[in-house]
Order: sequence, then structure tokens, then C-alpha cells
Amino acid sequence: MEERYTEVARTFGAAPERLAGAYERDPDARRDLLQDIHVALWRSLARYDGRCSLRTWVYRVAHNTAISRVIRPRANAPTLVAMDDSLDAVADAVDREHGVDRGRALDRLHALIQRLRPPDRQVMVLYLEDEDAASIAEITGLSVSNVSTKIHRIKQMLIRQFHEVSQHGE
Amino acid sequence: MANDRELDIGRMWRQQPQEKHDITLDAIRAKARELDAKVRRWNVMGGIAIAVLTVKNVWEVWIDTDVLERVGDLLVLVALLLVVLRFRGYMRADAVPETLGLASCAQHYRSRLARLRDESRDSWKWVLLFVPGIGLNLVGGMLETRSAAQVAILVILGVATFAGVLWVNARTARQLEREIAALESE
Repeated sequence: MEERYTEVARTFGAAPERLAGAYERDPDARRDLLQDIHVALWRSLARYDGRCSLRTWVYRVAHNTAISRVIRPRANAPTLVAMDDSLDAVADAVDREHGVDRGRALDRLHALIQRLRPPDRQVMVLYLEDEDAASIAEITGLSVSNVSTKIHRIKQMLIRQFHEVSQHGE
Repeated sequence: MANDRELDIGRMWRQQPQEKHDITLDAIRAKARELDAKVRRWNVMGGIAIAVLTVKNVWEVWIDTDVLERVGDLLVLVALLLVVLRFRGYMRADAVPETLGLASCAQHYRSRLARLRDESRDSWKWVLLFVPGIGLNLVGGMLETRSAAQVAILVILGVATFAGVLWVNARTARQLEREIAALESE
């Protein structure tokens, strides 16, 4: 189990930390969540039986740990929104900066992700992690067509909202 | 061009600066032990609290002279034991870290929402168990020192508080039910 965990930690590198950042804005809470994710991964690998890919297993454990932690209502939590029709509106509402640099764009991207309902948030994070629609569907349990539709909306929004970053990066 | 932008944002996400976290196997084992110890502590504290309440109620059944109060204490004792049994079953049904990879994110999210909804929707069932016992106890005690009108006002206030809590919980349960329905329609 420990060898497998070491392999997972090496393979997935900083992905769990990026994922924790999609759920917790506060650095201390983020660090706690990251620890919880690693403990859950370490414990869960004893139950891994190859029914799904190790990649799917790792992302499921990580997202499900995060969901268990953040699902309870909090006093300072923003209202969560569905991705369907309001993705751009949410992005607009997230304190748009002029002359966006990468640091600010990243803050905005985090703020945007944290405003999404968990299923939409998971799709967006997995898309940003460069997972394809079939993998995202297997991890999240949504249909491939549903995931594809969501990815299409995410791409459109990212292009509209974050094109300044691309221009700076070119 | 559009693809370049997507790639750039994806790259920006994946190459974001990371804080330096030293998560070694030893640190994970220590954290796991810490979590287990926390659960054990809560279980011990819960056990002590239940034992103290049980002894207190048995003692009160024994020493009370008023029949209403004695019956009330006995009913509180029965309610306490029922709540303990129900709570044990409820906690056993919770997801444990070992099984988190077995469920897809949607299944897990749905089960967490359903659990929260049930907590909100059924909270009155937990409280209701104590109402007959505490009610009899209070009425028995108050009839000795207060007028019937004062007792009636206090009963009304108690019922209103209970109804208020019920209303808030029912509203929360409806919100969670809407979220579950939205998840199922995806």
C-alpha cells in the first residue's frame, strides 16, 4: 500500500494541491484539506481493486474528500451558481482586473471556480488538469455528452474572460 | 488561436506556483493517527456524557416525590437511550475515507446532500423523543410554583420555539432537495 501511495504521490505531483485550491481559498484551510486528501488517498489505496484506473480512483478520492469537507453551509461562503447559462456572468462578477497579469488571472480563475456548484467545479478543474471528456465522465459520474457540453462552455468562457492573459503570454 | 488561448490557461493552471508542503509518509501516518485519536476522544467524551446523564436521570427518578416529574425523568431516560442507538446507526452509515474512490463524484455529492437533507428533515424526530419527558418534568415542577396561566405561556413559548426550528430545518431540507433534483437531471 505504501509503495502504491508513493507512486501516486510521484505521478500526481502537485495536482492534489491545485485541487485543494479549487475548494478552499484560505491558505490554512487549504493546507488542512490537502493533508486530508493525502490521508484519504493513503487509506483508500488498500481498497483499490483495479475496477477503475488508478487515475480515476485518485481524482475521485481527492474530490470526494474535498466535497465532504466543504459541503456544509458556511457563513462567509459565496452563493454557488450553475455553469449552464451563467458562467460568463459569474466570471464578470469576479472582480475583473484591467491589464491582467498571470498572478491576478490565476486569482480570478480560483475565485471563479470556487463560485461554481461542485459538479461544475469538478469538471472545470479536471478540464484544466488536461483530462479528456471520457476520463472526466468516469471520475465525475456524469455522461460523456454532458461533460462535453460543459467543457465547450468552459472553453468559450475561458477564451472570452481570460484572453488578456494569452495576449500577455504571447 | 482559440486553442492556443485554451492551452495557455490550462498551462497557467498546471504551472501555478505551489506552497512548500512537506507531506511525507510519516506525516500522513501521524495525521491518520491524530484523526483516529480525535474520533476515539469524541466517542469517550460522548460515552461519559451519556453515562452522566443516565446516572442523573436514574437518580432523579429515584428521589423525585412528584409522580409527573418521576414519569418525566423516566421518559427522558428512555429517549436518551433511543437517541444513542439511533445515532450509532447513523454514524455507521457515513462514508469512510477507504471507500471514497468507489463512488463517482456525483454519487458521493448526492449521498452527502441526501445525508444533510435527512439531518434537516428528521431533526424534529430526535428532539421529539425528549418532548414528553421534559414536558412532564417541567409541568410537574412548574405546577408547584407557578400559576396555570404562567405554565400555559411557557408551554406556548416552548412549542413556538420548536415550530421555529422545525420551519428553518424544513426550508434547508427543501433547498437541498432542489440541489439533489438538479444533480439528478444532469
